[in-house]
Amino acid sequence: MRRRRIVYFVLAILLGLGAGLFYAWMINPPALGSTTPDTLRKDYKTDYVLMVAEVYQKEHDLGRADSRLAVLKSSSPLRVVQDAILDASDLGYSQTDMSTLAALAVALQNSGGTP
Amino acid sequence: MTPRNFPWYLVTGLLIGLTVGLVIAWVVAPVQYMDTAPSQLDTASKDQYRLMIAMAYAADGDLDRASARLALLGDADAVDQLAAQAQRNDAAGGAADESNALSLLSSALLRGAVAAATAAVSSTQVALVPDVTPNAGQTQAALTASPTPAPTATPLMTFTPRPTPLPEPTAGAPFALKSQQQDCDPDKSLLLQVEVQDAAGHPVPGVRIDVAWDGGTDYFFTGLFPEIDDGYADFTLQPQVNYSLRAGEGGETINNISAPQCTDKTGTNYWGGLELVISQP
Repeated sequence: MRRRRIVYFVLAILLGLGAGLFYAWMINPPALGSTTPDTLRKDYKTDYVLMVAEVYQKEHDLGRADSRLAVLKSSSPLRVVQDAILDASDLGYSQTDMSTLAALAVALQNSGGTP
Repeated sequence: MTPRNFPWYLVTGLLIGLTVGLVIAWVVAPVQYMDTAPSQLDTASKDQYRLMIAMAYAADGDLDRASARLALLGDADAVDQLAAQAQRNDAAGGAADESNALSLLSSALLRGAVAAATAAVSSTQVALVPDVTPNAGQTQAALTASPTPAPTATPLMTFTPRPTPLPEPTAGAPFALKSQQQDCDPDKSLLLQVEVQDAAGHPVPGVRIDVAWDGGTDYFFTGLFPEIDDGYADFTLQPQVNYSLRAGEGGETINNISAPQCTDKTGTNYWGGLELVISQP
C-alpha cells in the first residue's frame, strides 16, 4: 500500500511537471517584442551588418563597428561579417553593398580579428 | 470519501510538479525565439537598430532605403520616434554624431512626407515617396526543448538604387546672427529659441549649436522639434549668466546672450526668453 502511494505521488509530480511545461512553453510563453538582435532572421542580420559597414565606410572607426556588431553575439565580429557576405551573396545584394561589406571584413582582418 | 481519506498526497505531488515545471519553463529554459523580425525586438534593441538606420542614412544619404528599414521596426510614427530618440540620446550624453544622424533622418522623412502631400494636393503624377513594402514575414518561434520547425519561406528584403549622398547640413557660408529679440511670454521664461536658416531663408536641420558660459559648455541640435520647425532648437538659460553661442562649423561667435528681464501688468519683474535667427549670409 505504501509503495503504491509513492508511485502515485511520483506520477502526480510528473503530471504537474508536464502541465507546467506545457502551459509556460506552449500556452503562455514570453511575449514577442522582447527579443534581441541575435535572434533576427538571416536577411535582417545581414542588413544590420551592412548598415554597420556603411557607417564604417564613412567614419573609419573600427572600435565602434566592433561594438555595433557585438549585439549579434557572435564569437567574433569578423565571423559575423564573413557570414553576412555569404548571406548577402545568396540574397542577391548589389556589387556596391558586397564591396562595402568586404571593406569592413578586410579592416577587421587587418586589425588582427580571427574568424 | 472523508477529508481524512482524500488523497492529499496526489494534490501535493501535482502542485510540486507544476511549480517545478513553471520554474523550468519560465526561468531555467525559457522559450527562445528564432528568425525574428526587427519589429519584435525589445525597446533597447529597437533603439539600437533605429540608430544604425539613421547612421547608415547619414553615411549614404539613401532615404528610400532608410524608409524601408524603418518600416521593418513597425513604429506608429517613425518621425516622432527618431526625434524622441535623438532627444533621449542627447539627454543621456550620447555621441553627438548619433543625435545628429537621428535628427537628420527625422527631418528628411518629414520633408518627404510634406513634399508628397503637396504633390498629391497639386494633383501631379510625380510620386515623391516610393511605395516601399517591408518584409514582414511570419516569425518562426521554436522551443529549445522541442524540435525546431522548418522556417516558412518568406520574401526577402529588396532595396532601391542609391541616390547621391546628402550634402552636409553646414555646407556653405558660416552661420551668423541675423536677428535677436526678447520674448516676454511667461511660458517661455528663460528659453533661448534658435532658428537656423540657409541663405535662402529655409530652415536647416541637424546643425550643432555650441553654447559656452563662465564655468561650462553644452551643445544642442536643430531639427529635434520637427513639429515646430526643421531649423528650430532651444536651450534653457540660467538667470544672470552670459552665454556665447556658435552655430555650425566655423560659424560666427555670438556673445552676450543672456535672459532679459520682463515686467508684467502688475509691475512684477520676471525672466523672459530670447529668440535668435541665425542664417547664412
